[in-house]
Amino acid sequence: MSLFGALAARTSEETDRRRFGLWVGLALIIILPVWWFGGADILIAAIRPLAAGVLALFGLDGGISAGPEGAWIVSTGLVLADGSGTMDYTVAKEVLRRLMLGVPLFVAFMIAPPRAERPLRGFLIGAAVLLVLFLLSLTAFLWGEIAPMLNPALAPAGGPLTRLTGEPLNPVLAQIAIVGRYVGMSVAPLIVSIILWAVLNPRGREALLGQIEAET
Amino acid sequence: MKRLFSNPGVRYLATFAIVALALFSVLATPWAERIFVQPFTQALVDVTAFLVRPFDARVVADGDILRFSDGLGAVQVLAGCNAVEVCALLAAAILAFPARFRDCLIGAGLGVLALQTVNLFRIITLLYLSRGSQEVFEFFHHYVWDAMIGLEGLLVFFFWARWQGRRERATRAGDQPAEAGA
Repeated sequence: MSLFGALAARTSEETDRRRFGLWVGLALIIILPVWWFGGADILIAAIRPLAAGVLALFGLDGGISAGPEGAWIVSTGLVLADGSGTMDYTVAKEVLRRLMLGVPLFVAFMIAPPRAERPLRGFLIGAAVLLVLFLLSLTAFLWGEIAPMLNPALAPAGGPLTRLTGEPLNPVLAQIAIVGRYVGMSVAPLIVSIILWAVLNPRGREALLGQIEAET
Repeated sequence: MKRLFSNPGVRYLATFAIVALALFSVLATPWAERIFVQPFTQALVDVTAFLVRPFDARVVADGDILRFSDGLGAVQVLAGCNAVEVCALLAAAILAFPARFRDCLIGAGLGVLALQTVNLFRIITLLYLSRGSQEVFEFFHHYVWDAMIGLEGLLVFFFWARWQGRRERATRAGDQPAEAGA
């Protein structure tokens, strides 16, 4: 058997999987740079007022101003231990873009065949869920950073550089914030975009995962 | 509720969520950071330097920093750069799978090994990218490689699940004549 013969798909499921993988790969090559170098920043700037409102709901002062090079400066309203006023936390542009990684992944999954029967509806629902994910991840990120500043025992080796006065967070809430920060900054965008695709595109899910489900 | 959990898919997702959450909760603690994450990350730096130095003697490991001796380009390997999160997620997905526990352990072990091998390649490429544009470096650091390693984890899981399915079918096919004869 020739090399091409050996590599050829043997079943229609295999063909579907390869076509899906190829589309996702090619789509990501185009979408990832477009999103990183432009799209993400536009969306991030647009949702800043909304993010300020959400942060206020979760116990932070909530004011967000635009910092240098696309960063956000978040007024926490929490008093610094050195008595120099309240803490303004700078969220770097890279962190904000990182929290938006789910968007290009979701778009790449959704435009790859087999596609959803109602793609527009899928994109709108996906956009709403990813927006909520961004806002919750940002909240978890900030509280995950703040928790060790209120309670240095929660900090990794060396302790936090900044100390705040005030009651430490409830241990359960502190743990939720730290784990939330960890998950939000690492795997949450990937998991949520895959789950969204699987829920919003049952046809694609059955074509790609049907055999696995039947096998198990 | 009971009927919902009798569905194998829902049961699998619930088990996966519990195992993943448990692993992430442990990994996020300060003592896990001290006992496991930091030494492991340091080991990654040392292994990367060991692998690159035969080909490029300019690469130096300096604590958790990999740098070039000519002063142009360096990367600091931090806790988030060790692919431990994706490994934990993959391990949770495989361990929660309804298969023999021994197979799950082997699958999780091999999956983690595959992810860490690619992660070494990731650190090496980022080290060389650090000699160029900062913006391009950040793009590869935060987007390209994170997406690639996540998708690799997904691919490993698909392969493992399909392999399990084939094994299951083969076992069932092997059992059937014996049962018929018994």
